[in-house]
Amino acid sequence: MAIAGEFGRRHRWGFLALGSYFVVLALIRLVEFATGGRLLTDWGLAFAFVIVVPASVALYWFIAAFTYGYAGDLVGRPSIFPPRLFTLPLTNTALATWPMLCGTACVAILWLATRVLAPWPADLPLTIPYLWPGLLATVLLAWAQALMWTAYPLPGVRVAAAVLWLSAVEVLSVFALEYRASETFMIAMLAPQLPLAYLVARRAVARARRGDVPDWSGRFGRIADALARRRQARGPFASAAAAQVWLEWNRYGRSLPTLVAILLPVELLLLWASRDAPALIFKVLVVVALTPPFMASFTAVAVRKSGEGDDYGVRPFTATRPLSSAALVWARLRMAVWSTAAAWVLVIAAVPAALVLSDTWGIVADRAQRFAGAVGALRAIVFGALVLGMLVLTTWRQMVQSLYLGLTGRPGLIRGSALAMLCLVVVIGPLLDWAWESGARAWFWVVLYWTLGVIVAARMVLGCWIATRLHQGRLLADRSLLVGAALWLAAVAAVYGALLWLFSTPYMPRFLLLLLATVTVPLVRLSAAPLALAWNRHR
Amino acid sequence: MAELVIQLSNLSRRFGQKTALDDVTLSLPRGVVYGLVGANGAGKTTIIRQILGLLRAESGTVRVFGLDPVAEPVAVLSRVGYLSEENDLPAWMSVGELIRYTRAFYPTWDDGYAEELRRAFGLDPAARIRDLSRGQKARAGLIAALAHRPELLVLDEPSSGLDPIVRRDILGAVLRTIALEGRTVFFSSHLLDEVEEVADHVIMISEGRILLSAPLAAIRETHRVDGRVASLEEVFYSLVGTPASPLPPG
Repeated sequence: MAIAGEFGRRHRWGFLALGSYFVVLALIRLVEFATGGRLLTDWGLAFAFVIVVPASVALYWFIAAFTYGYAGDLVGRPSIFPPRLFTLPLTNTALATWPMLCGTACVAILWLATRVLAPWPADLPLTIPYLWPGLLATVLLAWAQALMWTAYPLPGVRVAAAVLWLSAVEVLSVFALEYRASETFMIAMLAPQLPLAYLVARRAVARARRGDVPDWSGRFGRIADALARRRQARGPFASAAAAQVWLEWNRYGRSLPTLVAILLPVELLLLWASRDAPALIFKVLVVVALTPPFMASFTAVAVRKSGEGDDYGVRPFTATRPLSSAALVWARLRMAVWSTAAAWVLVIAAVPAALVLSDTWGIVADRAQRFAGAVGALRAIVFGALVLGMLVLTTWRQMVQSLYLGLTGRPGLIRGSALAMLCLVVVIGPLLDWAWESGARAWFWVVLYWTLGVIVAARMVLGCWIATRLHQGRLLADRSLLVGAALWLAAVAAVYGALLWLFSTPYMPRFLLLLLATVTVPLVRLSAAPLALAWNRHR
Repeated sequence: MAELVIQLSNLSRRFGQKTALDDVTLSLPRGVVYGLVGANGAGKTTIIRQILGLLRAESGTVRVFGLDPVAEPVAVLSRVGYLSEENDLPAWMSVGELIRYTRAFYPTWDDGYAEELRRAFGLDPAARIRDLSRGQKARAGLIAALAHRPELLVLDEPSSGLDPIVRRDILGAVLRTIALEGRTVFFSSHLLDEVEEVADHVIMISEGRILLSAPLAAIRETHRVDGRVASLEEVFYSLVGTPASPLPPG
């Protein structure tokens, strides 16, 4: 019970928010019941924002919380089960069972509450089952716990094992659904996995408690020795900034390329299965293209932190580096550039190779030629380059855009802003859906223009305020501020020029393109990051 | 008068309801070994964090080398060597990598001295920090703090929880550092015998207030018990009413 109580105390604000969300859902159901109407009428945008997004976020949060993933070193070899719990007068069975039971109970309640309270659309094409989706979620959590608590013989294997195994469980379930498996079949497929995961988790905890960590580094002795010799032979860093970028790369930089390298082969294998279905080929390519930005949002959770594990404050080792806060942030931004570049080099190298080997290159080349024929070769090349550039920029942005929050080191601010963003998404989604569907499309565009205008004006004002604070706090020199401003203006002009050339149509107002270009190029959040770090570093 | 390395003027700091520092004023000249003594929670680490610029002064001022460490962290920290009580060196680094990384920040880094310290401490350059014992980690941290020959060496509870051999190593290194002309050491401890052995000047702190700041020789001169020279433990007890470190059971 003490373990359950600890989870409750540590995550009380999350549980409170989730409880409030379900109360709102219950009120909506009451209103629907009283009026006889339906809030959601189809599987549209509103359904995704009101039900799917909060439920998915809650499930990810449960997985992170009940695996102790917030405080653990996911890349390291030892188990991430907290060693502080090993000194408690509890058996290994109790240590493994209670977090698993608590997690299972929370996930089951999450699904059942969603199933019962959510305002499901009226025209559902199927009956929403009561049991197996919840069972699938608990199975995913149980396997995540087992895989996270296991010690591995090499660094990084935990992430690979978790991604592959959890994806396999999910893909298996999706395939079963494709073949219209019954609820009984799904339960029969999923239920036996729970005791299996429990046994693996219990064994992992027992091994971790006695400090049993397998080590295969000796099997790669020659490689390890060669790498160690190479490391020792390296000369001094050219500058303090270069040393800091090296540190950041070793801390965070490898995660994104590693995750992409693990997922990419699995995704590209689907090309072999889609040789006879061109539409599927392009779906696979879209998924591959979205993998780096999607995985970057996961790595961003670690990148944005100034401390390690549960600690949000700047560690003395970092805080006492004779570097300005702006230089420390700059090193992290540069690390993110290298990490993004490494991930995209993998994608750019692997995709053509997979297309050729799977014999699907011809289909893609044919579509590309047809597109070039329709819009012109130069325009097609610029469009492709712009799309690729935007994907690369989005990947980098995903990694660094929340630095301004994470580097403050204030847990309340970080969690509160995440919750506020989720609430905003839940509210804005249905509003957009309603505005689009209710026939008020003219108003929709007017509101969109004004919203974008207000956002751009707010960004300008905030940007000026941040520049003033950076100058007053001596975090950035005048020259750096001027160069930064000039580069930002040049980037906006370049994006605007490209958009203008691509969308030269009277239906697209030029001021809208300018607003979009201004919003696209990062300004406020990135420039606020040094202020956030300085606030954390000098408390 | 010698140049002041550390100058705290009417410095106060609160954490919620707790007063960590209460109107602290200190003026510490260069070239002296200062021992900051106090029980756990007395405010030793808070003073050190103020000196390093990790905390802002809520009221009063902090100057290190005449500079505000919060406003000018680079100018101050590049002249300071620091060994943290937490010993939070990156676990994934090897000792060699730690030395290579740290040297990039200090133009005054002395490769020969770093190598001399590494050999003296018996550290394998290929060994990972995560695989080192607590004492070995402290030694690795000490190399990083000492090898750029800082003008001010700040040690936060350097021997807390360490065995006597490591403690001897640390004290030896400190002594070698202070032997270099013009350098200053500021270290905190609750081990009064250690302070008595090393410090030239003792600062006693309790509940955020400075109770005593005087050269060790002057303290010995002015504090006597039954006609003999009082130990620091006895002086501390007479000022505070409790020992600096918890008494052993029995």
